[in-house]
Amino acid sequence: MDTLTQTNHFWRKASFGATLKELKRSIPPATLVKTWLNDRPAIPLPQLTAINGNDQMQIARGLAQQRREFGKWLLEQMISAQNPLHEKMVNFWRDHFVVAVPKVRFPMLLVDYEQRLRQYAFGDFQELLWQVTSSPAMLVYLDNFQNRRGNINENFSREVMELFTIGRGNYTEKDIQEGARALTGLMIRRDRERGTATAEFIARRHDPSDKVFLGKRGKFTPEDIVEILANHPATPKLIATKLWKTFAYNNPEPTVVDRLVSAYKNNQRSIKAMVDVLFNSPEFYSPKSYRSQLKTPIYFILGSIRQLEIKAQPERIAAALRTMGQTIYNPPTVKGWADDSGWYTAPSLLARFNLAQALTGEYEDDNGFGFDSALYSRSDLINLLMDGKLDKTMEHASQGLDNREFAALLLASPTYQLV
Amino acid sequence: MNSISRRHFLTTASATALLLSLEPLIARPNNQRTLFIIELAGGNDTLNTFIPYHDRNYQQLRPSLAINDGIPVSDQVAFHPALKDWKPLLDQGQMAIIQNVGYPNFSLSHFRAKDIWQSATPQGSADSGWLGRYLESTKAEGMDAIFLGEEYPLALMGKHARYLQLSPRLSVQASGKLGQAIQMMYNAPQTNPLAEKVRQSVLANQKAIANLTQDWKGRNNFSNYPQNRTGQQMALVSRIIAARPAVIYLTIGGWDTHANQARRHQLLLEQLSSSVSALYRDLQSRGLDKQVLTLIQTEFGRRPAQNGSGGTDHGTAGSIVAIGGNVKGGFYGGQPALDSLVNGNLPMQVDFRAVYGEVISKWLKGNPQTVLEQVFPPIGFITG
Repeated sequence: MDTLTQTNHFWRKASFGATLKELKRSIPPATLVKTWLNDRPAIPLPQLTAINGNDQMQIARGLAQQRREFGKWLLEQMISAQNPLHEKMVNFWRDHFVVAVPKVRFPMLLVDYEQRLRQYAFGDFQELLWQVTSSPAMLVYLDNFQNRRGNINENFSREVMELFTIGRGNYTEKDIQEGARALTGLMIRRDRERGTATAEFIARRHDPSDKVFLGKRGKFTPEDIVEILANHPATPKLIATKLWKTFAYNNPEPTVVDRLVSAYKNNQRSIKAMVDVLFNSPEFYSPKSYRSQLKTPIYFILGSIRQLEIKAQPERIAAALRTMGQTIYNPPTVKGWADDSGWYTAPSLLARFNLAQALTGEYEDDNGFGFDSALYSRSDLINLLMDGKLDKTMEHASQGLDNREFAALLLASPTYQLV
Repeated sequence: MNSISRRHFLTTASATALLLSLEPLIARPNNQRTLFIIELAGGNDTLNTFIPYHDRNYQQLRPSLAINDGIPVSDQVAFHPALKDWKPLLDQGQMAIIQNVGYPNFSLSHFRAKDIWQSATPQGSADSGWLGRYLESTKAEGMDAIFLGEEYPLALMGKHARYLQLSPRLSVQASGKLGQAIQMMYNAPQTNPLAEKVRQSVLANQKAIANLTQDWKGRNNFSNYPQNRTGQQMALVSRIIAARPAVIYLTIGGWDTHANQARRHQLLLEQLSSSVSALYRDLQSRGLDKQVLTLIQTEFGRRPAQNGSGGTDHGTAGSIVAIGGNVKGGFYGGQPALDSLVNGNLPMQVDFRAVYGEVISKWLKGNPQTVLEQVFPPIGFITG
């Protein structure tokens, strides 16, 4: 990889692609990673309009309003993130510890959830897992707030092992049952008028008896389960594989996974240590890693907006995401979104042509996007979006196009769909 | 045009563009059969769908969830009251209900269970689905199967083809100078294999839509369908059936009723049964009801005993509903053995692959062995 390609590659993986300023500033990737990992990002809070009134209709309307505000706030965070690696990690955890709007319903619970993910995104995995487990959003999403002594609900117990930590093949149905008993006692207290909720541990709802869980015996509590799972050898392996898959390429070699696993084990389950190793691995810059995945719809739209500093109405972005089939906090299942191979579909791909044109248009209310084409020369666009290379066909195809159309062509190109 | 009316216009226009694009696909023989799969994702509580109303265990296992006002349809089974629209189909002998369907060594995980069902292999698969394999054996192309939903199903995955996915918000191509430049760019092979994969997927999808759009003339009166989401999807299915694809796959989510099941389940069943019966009324009026076999399946039934939250946890054996085609109506697979549960769950009587095997051999006229690698005893719910 030449330097330009390498810089672009890094920005594509660690961020949503570089802006022209970021590209020209040419700070070495290693320095950027260090800065971003050691940064303590501000944890912003959206101001959601209070629910006005307490009859069913008023609450429903208030919640709808809050959902719109929350969605808008989230998009703004992603587009304007000062620490893009932190934002990408929050996104990673959002895709890992899935909760979904339709079931959680109250946006204030998602605000609380976002705070937890943002605060612990680079932290100790055990603490992050506890924050998730004890969050009202997750307690609602996987029903664990209803799981109580004598009235067991296995939903969270199953998914926390299958999807969030140790993965299939490392537990039995019996472990799920015992785990579910240990996970009893967490409940939530709602303030329906404000749309908020707090989680509490209620001892009389907890099953205090002995449990045998993953080969250990004890009077386990929810915190014990989190501790056992975070320190189980299968957990860093699952997280390492997923991190590598997300930030570099699919099917990482065992040596690569082992390197990240060691970072986890030697640094008190530090996510930061794993991410640090990831971006400083030579394999990260190998040809296998270059343009190695299809951009998800979220990445495509946010990446384009960030890279070309496009002015965008949040509602317009949300509509584009719906068109392509990916809306934030609304994945199809608790497993989250399909990996990149699931996005080679007509809605996801064909919608990008119209979007490329809309994104690079002049700002108008009914376009919803605005691109300042005067800020970019043709070669700026080639450097920024195509790593400085334009093949013969593209040369030919782009003849007679103005700057806007040229930018649209690049955004619509097969190469630009890859990260 | 002010911005609100323009936005409204754009929404309507893109919905119309989609509907415009659906009929007919390409010239297919009039006797081309269609298999229509409806997957109830999340695990339908089939015990509260087809109720063993004379079984005392049923009431005991479900003190507050048992349905007491079901519609008796045999001396052993009652329909959930929300299924009233299905009774005529059953009475006409157009509906077969196969109970206690499952497979050996159950998985109670959604994803694992879906993998097993959709791959039709006991161990699951990452990339090969039973319909994908069947379609490959017929040398099917991209538009021979159509998926409606968000998550492309494993069932349709195969070695080569990726089938058409329709979402109501699919949009049209860029036109003009830029449109031509994009077309030119997509006509040139790419050196990066993944970029080439993007290009090929775009071309295949584009071609399918172009074919779909051909000679469609506007019949788009969906007023005979329920106004809810499932109803509107079924109206879309009805349009797609006119194009006679071999397979239509529709996913309907929301069936994972761990908590407060009674109301949610009622609503889901109501939407399902009214929409499916609207489809069959429509197909009957167009003389197409014998051309379409509908199979309604779910990745597992739910636990016979209710849980502590007015819901049910993941269970094992469930029911498959088959409608239309050459279905021989009635009940198959015996009654749920509520008196001999295994670890609290229903034992299975019928392997789901036997159902698929019969569909392949009797309905699709294919060879089940190439798809399922095993021969299962016939159930007899499809006539010759």
